[in-house]
Amino acid sequence: MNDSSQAGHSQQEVEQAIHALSDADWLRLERAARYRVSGLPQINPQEILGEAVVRLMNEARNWPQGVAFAAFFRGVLRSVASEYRKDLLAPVEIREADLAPGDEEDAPSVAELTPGRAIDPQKRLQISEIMKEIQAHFGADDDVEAVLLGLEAGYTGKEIQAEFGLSDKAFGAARKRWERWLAKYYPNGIPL
Amino acid sequence: MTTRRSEKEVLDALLDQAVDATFETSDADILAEAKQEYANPSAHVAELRAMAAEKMALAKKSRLSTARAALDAATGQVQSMVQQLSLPELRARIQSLLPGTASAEDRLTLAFRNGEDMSEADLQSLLEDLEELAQDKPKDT
Repeated sequence: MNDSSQAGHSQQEVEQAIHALSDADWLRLERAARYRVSGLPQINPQEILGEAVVRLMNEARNWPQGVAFAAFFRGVLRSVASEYRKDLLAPVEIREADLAPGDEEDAPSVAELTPGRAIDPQKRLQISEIMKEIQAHFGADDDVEAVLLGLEAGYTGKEIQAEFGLSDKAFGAARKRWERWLAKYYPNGIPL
Repeated sequence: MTTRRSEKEVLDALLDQAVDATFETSDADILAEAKQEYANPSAHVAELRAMAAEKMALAKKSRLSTARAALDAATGQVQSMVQQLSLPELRARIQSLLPGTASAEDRLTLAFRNGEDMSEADLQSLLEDLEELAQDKPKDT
C-alpha cells in the first residue's frame, strides 16, 4: 500500500522550501538557534543553522508529507544543537575539593557526579543565580510565575494551563513575556 | 505523574518555552523586534539566506562526490574481477551475460569460430561493459 504520509520529500523540494522561507521565518529560526546554543559558548548560532541546512538537504526524505517546513527545520535545529552539546561537553572531572562540605542534603549525588552527567559545582551555582534572577524579575507576574512553578513540578504546557487556570491567550502571553526577557538579557542563550 | 525538575531541567524547559513563543510570534511582531535589534534587518536576513545558499551548494556537491565515489568503486571492482579471469572464463562469463536471444549468442560463437576472435583486452572490455549493463538492469521481481 502506498502511504503518502510516509513518503517524505526530495532534496529539490527541501531546496525550494528553504528558498521560500520568509524574512520572519529566518528571524524566528535564528532566534531559536540562539536559544538552542545555550551552554555552548564556543558555538555561533549561525553555525547550527548552517549545519541544520546541510542536514535538511541530506535527509530530505525524513521531512514528512503534511508537516510545515519551518516546523521540520525547527526540529532539525534542536537535534543538531543536542548533538553538538553531546559532542562538545566533555565529562566534567570532579575533584574532592569540589564536593560541598557539611550539608549532605545540598551535596551532589553520586549519580550527578558520574562523568557525562555531571554538572560541576560552579555551573550549578551559576544556574541557581540565573533562576533567582528570573524569579526576582517575574515575582510580580503571576502568570509567568505559574509557568515557572509548573515547569519545576514537571508539568507540560497543557497541565500548567489546567493547574493554574491559564487560558491559551494568557499562557501564550506569559510565555512571550519570558521570551522577550530572555532575548533582552540573554540574547545568545543561557550559559547552562 | 510528574517528577520535580532540577534547576537545570527547569532552565532547559524554559528555553523550550522560549522557542515555542518565538514560533508563535506573528510576522509583524518578529519583524518589529528585529528592527530594535538590527540596524538593517533585511540585510541581516540576506546574510542568513546567503549562508544557507552556500550550505545548500556544499551539500549538493558532497552528494555528487559521494555518488561519484560509489560509482568509481563499483567500476573498480568490475575491472579488478575481469582482469583476474582466464580467457575461457572470460568467454564463459560473456556468454552467461549476453541477452538470451539465440541470435546474439550465435553471432558471438560464430565470430569466435570464424577466427574473428577478439583479443583478450577486447574481451575484458566487452565483459566490463556487460557487467555494468547487468548492474544497471532492473531486477526481475
